[in-house]
Amino acid sequence: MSKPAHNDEEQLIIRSQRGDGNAFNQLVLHYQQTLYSVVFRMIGDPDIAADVTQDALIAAYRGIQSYRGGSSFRAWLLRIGSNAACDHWRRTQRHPAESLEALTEEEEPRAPELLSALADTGLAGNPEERLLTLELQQLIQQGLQQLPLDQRVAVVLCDIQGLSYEEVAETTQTSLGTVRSRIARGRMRLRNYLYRHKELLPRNYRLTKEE
Amino acid sequence: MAKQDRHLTTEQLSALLENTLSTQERTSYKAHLQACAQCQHTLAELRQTVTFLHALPEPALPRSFVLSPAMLAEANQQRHRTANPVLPFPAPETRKRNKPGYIYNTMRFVSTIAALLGIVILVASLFSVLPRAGSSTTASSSSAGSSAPMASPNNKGQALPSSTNNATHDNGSTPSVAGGQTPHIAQTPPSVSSAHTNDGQTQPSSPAMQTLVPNLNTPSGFALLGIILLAFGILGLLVLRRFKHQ
Repeated sequence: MSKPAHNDEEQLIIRSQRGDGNAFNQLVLHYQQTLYSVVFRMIGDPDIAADVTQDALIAAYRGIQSYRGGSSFRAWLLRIGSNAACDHWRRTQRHPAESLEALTEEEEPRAPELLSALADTGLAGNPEERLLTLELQQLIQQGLQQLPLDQRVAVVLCDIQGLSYEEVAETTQTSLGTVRSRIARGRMRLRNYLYRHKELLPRNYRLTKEE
Repeated sequence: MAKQDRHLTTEQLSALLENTLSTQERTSYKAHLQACAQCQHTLAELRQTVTFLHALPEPALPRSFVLSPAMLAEANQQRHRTANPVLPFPAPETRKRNKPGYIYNTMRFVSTIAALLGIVILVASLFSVLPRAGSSTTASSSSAGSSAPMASPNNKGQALPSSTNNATHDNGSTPSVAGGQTPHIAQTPPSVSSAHTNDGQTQPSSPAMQTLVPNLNTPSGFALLGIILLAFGILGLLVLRRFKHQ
């Protein structure tokens, strides 16, 4: 973030702490996409994620005086959001198998000939920019929802949202070592899940050897 | 392909995907990879998984989450009500202050030990109440040797008067007249010493029992100790369980 923007944000935070709702809403406009993305990837349902995001933002405004200027505001906000998502998940996941079934009901491919439909269309360019098919996106989302919450948060924040290990540590209030461990285990677990359903992976996606 | 005794760990493989390794670590991991097809394969799949994660599209914002005037007003009201604004949705780890995980776990451990000890003592005291006809003769032979172990139970507190009294009793009952009494006395101390040494194990009744001198006067007082410990343990666990679910 450039310096002027950072100072602007500081001002907005101070004003919010003094009860200026409009200032807080400026912050909302800036962070709502990130917050919603994290919550959505944690929970998987867009409507529920929207509710949880709104609740989290209200709670953030209510508790904004507890924000200390020393740390990243984004980390502080994402902490509230990810905790809200975790709370919601814990409260509603009495029958995890059932909720998974609900997700996979109409989306599970049944025949190998669907492979071509699922295969990467081979858009030119960087492998990282290739579009994932909807089915693969849904498979990854299901895989994410299989992860224990602490690993899920770490993977969502780091690999999906692009936060550094340090910022993930700040967001989750844990050590770098813990973050590294959770991310590693989350990635491995997700990989295991994806490869149990490997018929869904893009056909022409070659596994590259380590350089 | 040479067989590897160890493969790279999950964390090591994951670290290979970042730029966080030291040159030394990276070199040594790569050396293993060159000889291990399994790790190569796992790493490749792991890398692909991360690539997929990077490629996930950002979900479209369904609506604006800007706080409405009503939401702001209500939040402001609630802010003024709370004297100490607390971070909303505290993470489970911070719900209790000051590294609560350790405190919680320690308390749970202590309560469990207390409960176990309580059970052990109770059981031992129950055993001591049961008359043992066969042990009266062995009690007489070992009561002479009981003077030496007398010293140790003394240090366990409040044992002095009772042990001297019991010693007299022991000697007095050597002719095995009060056959019922000796076994009582002889049988309580081993449980006490086992409890004091935090053994947690119920010692076998006959052999160890007669070698030690009682600390507590009566088995019922002993049982009371057991009940109290057990009660503390159970209470502690119940209270902690409530904290856990909050």
